[in-house]
Amino acid sequence: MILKGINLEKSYDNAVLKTKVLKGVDIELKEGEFVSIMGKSGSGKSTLLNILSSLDAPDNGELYFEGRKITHLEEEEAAKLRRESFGFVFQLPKMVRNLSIMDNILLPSVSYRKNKKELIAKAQELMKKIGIEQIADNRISQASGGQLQRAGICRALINDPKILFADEPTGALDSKTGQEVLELFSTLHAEGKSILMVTHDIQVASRADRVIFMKDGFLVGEIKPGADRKEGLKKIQEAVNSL
Amino acid sequence: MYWTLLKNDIKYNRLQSFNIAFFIILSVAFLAVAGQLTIRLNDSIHSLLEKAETPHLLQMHTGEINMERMKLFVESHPEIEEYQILEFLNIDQSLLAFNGVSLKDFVYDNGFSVQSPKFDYLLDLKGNKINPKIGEVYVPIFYQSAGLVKEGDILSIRDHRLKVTGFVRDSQMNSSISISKRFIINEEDYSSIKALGNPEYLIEFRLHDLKDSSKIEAAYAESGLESNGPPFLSYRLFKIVNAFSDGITIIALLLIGMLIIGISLLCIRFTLLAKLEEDYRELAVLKAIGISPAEIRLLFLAKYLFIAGISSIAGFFLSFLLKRPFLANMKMFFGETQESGLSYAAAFILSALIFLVIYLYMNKLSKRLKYLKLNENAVEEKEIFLHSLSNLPKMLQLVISDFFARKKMYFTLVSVFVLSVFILTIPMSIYSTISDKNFVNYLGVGVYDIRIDISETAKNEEALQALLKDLEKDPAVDKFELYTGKLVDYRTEEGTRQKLWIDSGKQSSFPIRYISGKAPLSDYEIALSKLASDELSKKEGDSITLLIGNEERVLRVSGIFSDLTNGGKTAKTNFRIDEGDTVWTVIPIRLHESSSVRDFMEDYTQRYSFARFADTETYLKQIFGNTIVMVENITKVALAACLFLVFLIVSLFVRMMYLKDRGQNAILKSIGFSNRSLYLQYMAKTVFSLSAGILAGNLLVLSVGDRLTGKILSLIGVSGVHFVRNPIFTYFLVPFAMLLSAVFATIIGVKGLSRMNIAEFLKEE
Repeated sequence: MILKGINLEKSYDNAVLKTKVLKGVDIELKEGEFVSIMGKSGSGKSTLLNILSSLDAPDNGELYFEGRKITHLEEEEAAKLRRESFGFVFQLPKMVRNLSIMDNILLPSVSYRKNKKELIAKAQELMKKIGIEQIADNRISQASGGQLQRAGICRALINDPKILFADEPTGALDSKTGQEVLELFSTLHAEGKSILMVTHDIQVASRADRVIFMKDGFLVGEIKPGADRKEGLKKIQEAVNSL
Repeated sequence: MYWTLLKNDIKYNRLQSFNIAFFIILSVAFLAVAGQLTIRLNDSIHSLLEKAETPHLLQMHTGEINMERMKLFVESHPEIEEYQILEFLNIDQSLLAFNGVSLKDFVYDNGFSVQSPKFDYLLDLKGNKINPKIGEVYVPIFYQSAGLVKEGDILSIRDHRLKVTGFVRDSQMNSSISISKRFIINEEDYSSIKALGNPEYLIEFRLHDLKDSSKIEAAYAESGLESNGPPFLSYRLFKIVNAFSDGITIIALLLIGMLIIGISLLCIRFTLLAKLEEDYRELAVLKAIGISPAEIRLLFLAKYLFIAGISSIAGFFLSFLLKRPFLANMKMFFGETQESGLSYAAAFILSALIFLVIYLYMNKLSKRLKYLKLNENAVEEKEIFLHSLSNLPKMLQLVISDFFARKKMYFTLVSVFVLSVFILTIPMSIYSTISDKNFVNYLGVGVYDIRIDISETAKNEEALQALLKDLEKDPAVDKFELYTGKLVDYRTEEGTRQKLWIDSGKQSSFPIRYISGKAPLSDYEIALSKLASDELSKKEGDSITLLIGNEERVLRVSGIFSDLTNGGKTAKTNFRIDEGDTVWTVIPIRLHESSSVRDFMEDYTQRYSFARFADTETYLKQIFGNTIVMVENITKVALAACLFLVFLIVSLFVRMMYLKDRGQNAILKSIGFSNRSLYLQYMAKTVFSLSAGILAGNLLVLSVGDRLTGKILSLIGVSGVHFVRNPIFTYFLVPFAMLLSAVFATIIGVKGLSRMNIAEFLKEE
């Protein structure tokens, strides 16, 4: 088991009311597994992803990565974990201003005392693989949304993370670019990368080994789409309809 | 609706509102205090001079006076309203002691007199004419303010004991920079101690019209009347000397006030632009729904105008509280005066003026609201990408790129640092300059370790020769020089004779700093003090004819120097003038480095009681003590203000940047940047900006600041000042304190960074 969450709970407070978003979720991700999380808006799927990826902390419950408890890590430790073991792909490309595309991709590797030439070669290789090698020296404003999303994937992969987290990675892309990005995820999965992805698109979810469904802060079920895409899509659609 | 918006805006932006209000209140208060003090100082001096009926012209004289001739002179000059000849008994300070503590180490000339009969009254602290009873003495107020004596103490003049009954306000000799001090006693006591001192005469005139001063002065000299003493002292000089200490305070307040206005404007600019950025889209929506740009501008500016208005009023009222401590010195030396309407008017006009300047500035800034467009940013924050930075470490690249992307904001921040350095360094350099031993340069003498003053009355030629021989033989003495001060006649442009105080002696031994030109080194040259050159209308290169004995000697003016002593109108020659009576002898001495000034003083004071010995520090402390303390206090306030200002501005600036950067910080944290590395980025930005500000601030002080302060100081008679700085304090301790303040402010500014919810702020980006 590469990642394991036990009885995860999370609430958000505002001046008026306290909303419990996660109400005791147990979840596991095996090494090399591709898991999709589905659910309606407000079901808690993004919160769960944030907690599992250490972007947010649970109020209660425990979290383990490769058997090591990571629930309440020191800040430096958590940063190291995000930098070295996790990669993130967001719904909208989140780029750091005032840096070129190449610099953005290299950014998570700056703390490593790696050979700079090797890092640049690796970034170039990733960009080539993803098809954006021609925009390496461009500014962020000179790239399209699709190019930026791919650059975001390159950045997530630069340190060769053990788990790739993705929150609606195709949500803001046109269908062609979205398809290309999904192909990329499938390739990464085939290469043995563990992936945890939040989506509400059944086409996207159908590429996963396992689809988990959430409702009102609970995990309410899971299915394995299987090798038959058509059958898988049907099963997922039925599950979604029942939510 | 405006009121509700305004209230909410102030409520939700407390820090910004407080910051703007704080600076406006401070700048208004400082300038209003300076305005009030200027009027009050002028009124106070005027009131004292009126009450005391200060002479319009004063000639000091030692020796006999031909009363008949004097009477004839007055009768033949109808411009003279009244005249009197006062006796003034010079008593060597070695004979004086307060409660047994000798005054021998003081450089002042202490004289005793009785109350003047016709004018030039000596007043008590209530402003009444003093009429001491037998056994009573009224002591110059300077000694009280210096903490040397209090009412009830005993003043002994050798064996004669007098009780200190009160203190004297002397319109001529009040100021610490006036070297003579008058004690007032009863006529019977005066007769008893007369044998202990040497009488000197004060020949005083009151004129119908002050404008005739120069005419009477010239006529007096032409008539060859008694004038064995320093040259004529005028009403104008009494005013200047009286205004010296408080004048410096007012100048410092004005400078600080003006600089704070600069800071307020920068703060407003910075806050307004940030706010504009925040509200721009909402304001654009208002425009889109048909609200006119003028109304939108009003809506936007209402809060700031409200704050500026309220703060100006608060600053105006605060100035009445703030001026109290500054008035204490004025009250002590000049007495209580009624607050005049003009003083309130000055404070009001200055407050209103500041409000107007702020309004105009805000109005100018808000002009960009005319061009409101949806989907645009108010403050263009360009994406900067510099290829040349790509090879730098990424953290450094991010920091440098941010400077370029937000250059206007950083320019504002650096400007505030520059001004802070300015605010602090100016009083600090005035303080270190006037407390430095080189400041004696501006008192007409070169730098020395010990100064020996021998007055004509106390001079004993044999003893003087013995002293000179001793000095020559003394291995502790590196060098010394004998300078004699004499009154020498010169011919004016109109052909009449006038007297000029000339210090003659080898000028290269103890060189002074010249405002223009150089020291007189040949026998055909003379240097004039600034006041003398103004009076004589002579500048460097002009010639002047001295009448020495029966000989007319034409000398070229080699240079102009600054001098506040002996009435300020003095000259210097390199050749010795033997003719005429020596009025004063000064022997500056430089000791070898290993020699002890204290030992030397103790030894010589015992052996040569007719001479007065003072080291530079004592001499300066006694003359400028009050001013030094005042400027020192201003420096302390400026230091506190500067550190507070740096703290406030940095915390505000970093807070704003941090709030704007939350989305970007969330991205950096999500890809593994630690809080430490983000803290370091903010620290680096603050430290870089502060370093640039300190560097630019010091360059500005060195170029513009010194010239500006020098010009202002020249208004009160100290010209050509070369500022002295304590390098450890100026270039190390102060920057270090500012750095600590900035670092602390940065920590406060980024409060919450470690607890920020990455996921939440990722959504914002």
